[in-house]
Amino acid sequence: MSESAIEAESLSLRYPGGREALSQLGFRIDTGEMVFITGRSGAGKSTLIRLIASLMLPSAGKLKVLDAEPAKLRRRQRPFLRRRIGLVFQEHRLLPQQTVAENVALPLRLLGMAPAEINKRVRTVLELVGLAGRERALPATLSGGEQQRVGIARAMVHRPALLLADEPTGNLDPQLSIEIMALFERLGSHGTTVVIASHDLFLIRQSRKRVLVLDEGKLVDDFRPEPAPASAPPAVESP
Amino acid sequence: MNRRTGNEARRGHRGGWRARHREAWRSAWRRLRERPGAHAFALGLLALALLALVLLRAGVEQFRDLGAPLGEARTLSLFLDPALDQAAVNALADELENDSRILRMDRISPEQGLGELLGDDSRQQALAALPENPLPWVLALDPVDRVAGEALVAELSAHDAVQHITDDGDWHDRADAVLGAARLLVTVLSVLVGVAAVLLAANAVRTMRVEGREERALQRVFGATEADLRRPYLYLGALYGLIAGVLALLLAWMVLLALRPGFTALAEALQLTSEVSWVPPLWALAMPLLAALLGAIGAWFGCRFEPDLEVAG
Repeated sequence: MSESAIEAESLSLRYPGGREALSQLGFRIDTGEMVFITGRSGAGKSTLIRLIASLMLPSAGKLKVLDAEPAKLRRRQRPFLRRRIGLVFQEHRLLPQQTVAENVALPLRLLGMAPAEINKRVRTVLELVGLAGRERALPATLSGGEQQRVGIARAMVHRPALLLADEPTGNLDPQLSIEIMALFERLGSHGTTVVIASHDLFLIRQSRKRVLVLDEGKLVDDFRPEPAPASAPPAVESP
Repeated sequence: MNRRTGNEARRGHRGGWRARHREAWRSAWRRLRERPGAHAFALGLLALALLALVLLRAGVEQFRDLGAPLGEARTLSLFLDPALDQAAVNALADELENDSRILRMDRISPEQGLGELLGDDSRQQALAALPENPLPWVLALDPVDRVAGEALVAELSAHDAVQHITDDGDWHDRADAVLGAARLLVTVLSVLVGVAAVLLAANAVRTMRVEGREERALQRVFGATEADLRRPYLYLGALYGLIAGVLALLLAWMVLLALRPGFTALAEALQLTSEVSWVPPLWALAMPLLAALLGAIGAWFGCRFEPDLEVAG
């Protein structure tokens, strides 16, 4: 049996106001697996991503991420778990006053890597996402798609054991979305566990990876889709 | 499990500690360079606070230097019994000259004393009216130190041949007391100025932290510890202090240059050889370092008063 990267048992999250964002989730994601989390807006996809990234803590149940239980870790231990995770945001969240290379290098600087090694890794990952030669550009001079690719490069550059992506193709054209998915699949084949929150059913069908479906904070389905028909629409729901 | 990738993040990198500090230092410099105008006011204020500290301390040192030659000139004047003959005076003087507690001794005869008084025009007429010289022999003693002086006063006051003793060390004691009080005042003011410097640095860093909130939120997402997030600001505070300390020294040098003629004139008026003393080299070296420390302490407070939320992303 494969090792698990993420294990959830009766996982729930209730916001201070009383609204239950996630309710009694139970699933297991193996190491190296690529999994989509999908569902309507407000279903709890982003919340689950944030819980897995240990940016929030569950209010009930058990969540194990990369052999650690964030809820049981001391506050000062949690950053070391986060260093093993890469996170792609839907809205890029690039630092506007820093260059592309500086933005991408952020996780490596936190690891205390030597500048020469940082430069080498940043160049390599920017080539991988098709942004070679744009190292010195400021985010404001890039298109939405390019900014998203910088965010993806930043999430991958430190070779995380787990890559979480929240609507990573939301701002990309269909062709680029497929390329980015291929990139995530390549990462998965190298042993990185990839969890993608997306509402883009076309891409999900296309990739034929496992899908967890959330609805009003509950896990309503866990399946592996059939290949998409050639005439499938590009998306089923606007963001 | 992806051991390779996981372990890399778990272990960190060889020399990582040094690299993280270097990164924090670079980040602090970057923040300072990005908006030099915004920092100029805070740096100027901090430099002025530190300048006050240097000048207060330099002022006390100056007065101590000016007072020192006066203090060394402590003299005991023994007014002997006018009935003593020359032989008895010489016997006492010889005895005192062999006393190891006495550095120097002058014998002043009644004639010499009268001669000195006659040099004063206002007294000439009165002295001329006297039928005979009323002055006694005087022995002027310079004790080796204060303790010896006090012991001699106690001993000689009881001596039959000594009618009266004047001790100009009393004046020095009073000057010492004034200087001591001034030094205490300066110490209290120094502490207050130090606190002001810490608060100035704290406020500057607090403002910077408001601007860098988004960056810190991202760093937190990618695994920055509290120390990682605080470190650049501590360096920034230390840099503030260091730059302000050097500025304060330059300003102090200019102020002392401007004060030099006035102090030299005062020293001449008091017949002292002392001149305006510059900031001592040890002070010049320690000052920016102390200021850097104050800046870092201020930055630490600034971080405490502008905390981040635990959860970001």
